[in-house]
Amino acid sequence: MGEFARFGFNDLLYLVRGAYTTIQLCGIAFLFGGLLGIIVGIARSNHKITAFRWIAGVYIEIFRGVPLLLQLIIGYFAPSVLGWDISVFLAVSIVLCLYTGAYLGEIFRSGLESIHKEQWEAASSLGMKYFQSLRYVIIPQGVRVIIPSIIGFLVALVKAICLVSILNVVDLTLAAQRVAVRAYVPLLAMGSAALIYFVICYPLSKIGQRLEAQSKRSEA
Amino acid sequence: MIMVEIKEVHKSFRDLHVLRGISMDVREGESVVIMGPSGSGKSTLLRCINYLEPIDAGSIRVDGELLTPKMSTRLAKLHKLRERIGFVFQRFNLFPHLTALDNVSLALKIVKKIGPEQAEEIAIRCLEQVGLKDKISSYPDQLSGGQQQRVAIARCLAMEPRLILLDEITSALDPELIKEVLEVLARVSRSGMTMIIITHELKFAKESADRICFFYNGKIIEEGAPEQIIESSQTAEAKRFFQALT
Repeated sequence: MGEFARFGFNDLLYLVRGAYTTIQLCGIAFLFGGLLGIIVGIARSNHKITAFRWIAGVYIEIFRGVPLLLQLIIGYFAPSVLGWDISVFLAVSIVLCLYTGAYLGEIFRSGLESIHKEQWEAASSLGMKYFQSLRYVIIPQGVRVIIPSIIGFLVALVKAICLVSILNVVDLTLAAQRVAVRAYVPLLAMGSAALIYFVICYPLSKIGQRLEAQSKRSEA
Repeated sequence: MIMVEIKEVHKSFRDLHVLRGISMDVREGESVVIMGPSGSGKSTLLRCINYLEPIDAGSIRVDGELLTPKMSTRLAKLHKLRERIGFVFQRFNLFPHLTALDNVSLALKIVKKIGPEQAEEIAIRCLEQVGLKDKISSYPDQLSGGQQQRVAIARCLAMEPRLILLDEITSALDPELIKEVLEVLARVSRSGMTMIIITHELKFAKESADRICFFYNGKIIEEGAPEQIIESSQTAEAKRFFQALT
C-alpha cells in the first residue's frame, strides 16, 4: 500500500497528458485516415476504372499486411534517411493516418458494396450522376451497415497507438511506464493507465451500440 | 412523332444471345405492351432503351438522342436523357432511407435543381395523384408492396418524363394489391403519356394498350392490336403463351 503514498498529483497529471497525446493521435489518424479511406473505398469499389481499383488494392494489402510496429519504425527512420526534417510526432501521425486509411478504406468498400446494384440503377434512371448517386443514395445506406466495424476499428486503434511508446512518443502507455519507474509505483501507474484506456474505449463501444440500434429501428 | 426507334438491336450476356435483332417504333402518346415468356429478352430491351445496359449492335433513338453500341453507360448525355425517361422497376427500388416524400422529391432537387419548397409541392401533388397523400412521411418499409410501387410511379411522374418504361411492375405484388397499381397506370396511360409496359396482365393489356409486341427468344414474332394478338395469334408460340395465361 506504500504505492499510494508515493503516487503524487504530478504523476497523475503526467498520465493525463499522455492520455491526451493518445487521443490526439487517434483523432488525427481517424480524421485524415478517414478522408483517405473514403477515397480508397470509392476507388476500390469502382468497377469501371480497374487502375484505381488495383492501386487502392495494393495500398490496402501493404498497410494491412505489415505489422503496425514495423510501419512505425520505418516511419521513424525514413525521414532522417531521406533528409526530411520532421518531428517524430508528425512522422508517427502520418504512419497512423496511412494505416487507418487502409483499414477504413476496406470497411468503406464493404459498405458501398453491401448496397444492391438496383439502388444504383434506380438513381441513374432518375438522371443522377455517379457522385450524386453516391452522395444521396448509396453512402447514407452504406454508413448504417459499417458503423459497428468503424467503432470496432476505432477501439482497436486507441489501444494500438501504445506502440508509439517504443519511439519515445509520450502517449498514455509510455507515461505510465515512466511514472512507474520514477516513483516506483508500477501497479498503481499501470492500473491507472488501464482505467483511463477503459474510460476512453467504453463510451466508444456504447455510442456504437446506440447508433447500431438506431439504424436497426429506422429499418424495422 | 416517333418517340422510340429501335433498329436491329442485338445484346448478349457472355454466351447468351438475349436480343437477336429487335426492331420496333413507339409513337408519342402510345402505350405499347410487351409480352412473352420469361427469358425472351423483354426486360433487357427495356434496360437498353435508357442505356442501363449497353447494346452490342444496332441502334436506338430515344426522344431524338441516338444510342449506339458500346457507349459508356455513364456519358453525360445519358444522364440528360434519363432525366426524361421514367423507369419503374419490378421490385420498386425505392430508396429505403428516405420517406415517400423524399423519394419523390430527391431527384427534383438534385437533378432538376428545383428549390426544396417547390420540389416538395410537386412531390405532394404526384403522391396525391397515386392516392398516397396520407403516406408522405412513411418510409418504404412501412408501406405495402402496392403502395411502394405507387410511390415509385409518383417518383417517376414527378420528373415529368417524355417516356415511361415499366418492367413487370405488378409481378412482385400480392394479387389483391395489383389492382390499385394497374388503376393508377391506366390513368397515366389515358393522360397521353408514352409508355412501354412489360406485363402479364391480359385484362390491362386489352384495355390500355394501343399495341402488343410478342417476344420470343430475343425476337418480336408478333405485333399488332391487343385483341388481335391475344385472341387470334398466328404463331404456335404465342397461342401456347396466351392459352396458359387465360
